Amino acid sequence: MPSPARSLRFLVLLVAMLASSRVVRADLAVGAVAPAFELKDLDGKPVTLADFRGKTVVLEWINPNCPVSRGYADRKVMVRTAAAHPEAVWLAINSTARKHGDYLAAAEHKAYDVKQGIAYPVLYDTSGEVGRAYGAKTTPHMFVIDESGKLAYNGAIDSGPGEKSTNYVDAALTALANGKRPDPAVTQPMGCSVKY
Amino acid sequence: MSSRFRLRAGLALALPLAAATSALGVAGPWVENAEARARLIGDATALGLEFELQPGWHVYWRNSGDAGYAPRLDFSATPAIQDARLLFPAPRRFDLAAGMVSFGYERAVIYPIAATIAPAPGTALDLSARLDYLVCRDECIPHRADLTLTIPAKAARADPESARLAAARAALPLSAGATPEAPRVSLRVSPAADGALELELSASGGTWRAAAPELFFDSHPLFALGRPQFQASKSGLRFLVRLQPLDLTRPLPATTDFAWTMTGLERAVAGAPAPVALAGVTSVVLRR
Repeated sequence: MPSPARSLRFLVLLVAMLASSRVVRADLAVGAVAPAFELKDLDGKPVTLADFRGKTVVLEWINPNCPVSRGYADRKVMVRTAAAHPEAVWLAINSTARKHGDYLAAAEHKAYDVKQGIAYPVLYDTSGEVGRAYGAKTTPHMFVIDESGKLAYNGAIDSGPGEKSTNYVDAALTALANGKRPDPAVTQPMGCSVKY
Repeated sequence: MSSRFRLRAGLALALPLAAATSALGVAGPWVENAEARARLIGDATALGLEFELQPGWHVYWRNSGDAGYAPRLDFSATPAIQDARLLFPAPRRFDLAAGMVSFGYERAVIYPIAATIAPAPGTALDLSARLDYLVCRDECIPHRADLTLTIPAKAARADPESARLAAARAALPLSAGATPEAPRVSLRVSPAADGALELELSASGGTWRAAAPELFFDSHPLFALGRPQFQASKSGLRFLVRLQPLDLTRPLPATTDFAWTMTGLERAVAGAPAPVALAGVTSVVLRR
């Protein structure tokens, strides 16, 4: 006869197993069609990928409570890269689950964005559906979508800590603006895991 | 400072006082934070980067997996050290949320350092290096530390730190090809039943028993590698690894290299990159 505590434990285990079956899809390949999405920004306004058809789009996976993501914001790396490429649309996506300790409510997220000079839209993906579709693994994790709606770059914002860091996203956007393919088109993203 | 660190620091003070006075200490000062501490250790011929980590925190293998990044050590402020690079002990796997994994070390690890150390006969060698590393539990925290180490003129291989460094070096994965006790490994890429690509690693022969073998791969420029699925068979070990092409816009080359590390044997072994044919499977990728 199972005790209530054991039944509860079984239930918790079952829920955990069901949750863990919702795995991050394997990496989205460069050249593949970027999955469509409709997400809400911090004001609740819907934003879809289709809104920007014909433009280069940058997706930045963001989590202000991840010190790596925050560190890049402190150093203004994303903001400066976005400013250097007015031809591209820059969107940040926060896939942190609502129940995770890192989750930020809209008012706090807005305060963070103002402090960091982030003027581009930040979109909530609390179900993690869009993050999983893209295979977003870390914050930050960067995706560049070309004008034809296909993925052109997947990986890190730059080559990481060190004096001679290379900004891969800046290089990818410059290449696309000049009618070339990004090289490298794939790098390994670096940072905290996305808190699905 | 954590209680564990304080305790260990106390012991370190209490025990090797004699060694310290004879000027043969070959460990630099710990640089520590709430999660971890790091220092350089070494002697006139060998160097290492040592970490101690609070429970639950880890640092990374050269392929950190789905999150994290490996430590980076920059000796450019020390001209006596040239071509320094970290060597990586056999990792373990950490399961993260949503099916993601990372590879690294918990509690304590020594990364031996391969470097050319300019000999300075009869004089002490002052080293400094900038360390950038990420330490993760559920959250991840990037740290930067400036590490120093003075190798006294008389530092000898008998020093305790030299012995620990030698042990760490001896525990590095062995080259599979040069280790007769290790199973012989062959790699093959072929289309799986569902049309995806699959890497098959077969291992047979050798004298070592494989209790719970685990397979790790260096990150690959062409493919995302899935979790290796282990199958024991009469003829030996077999792992199947799904390969997801990372870039559909570029044709696959005729061959590609996979560098792997296997643990769960008597000793960890590693296979140097060796060309594996892709020629017969290219069309499968392009059809996707």
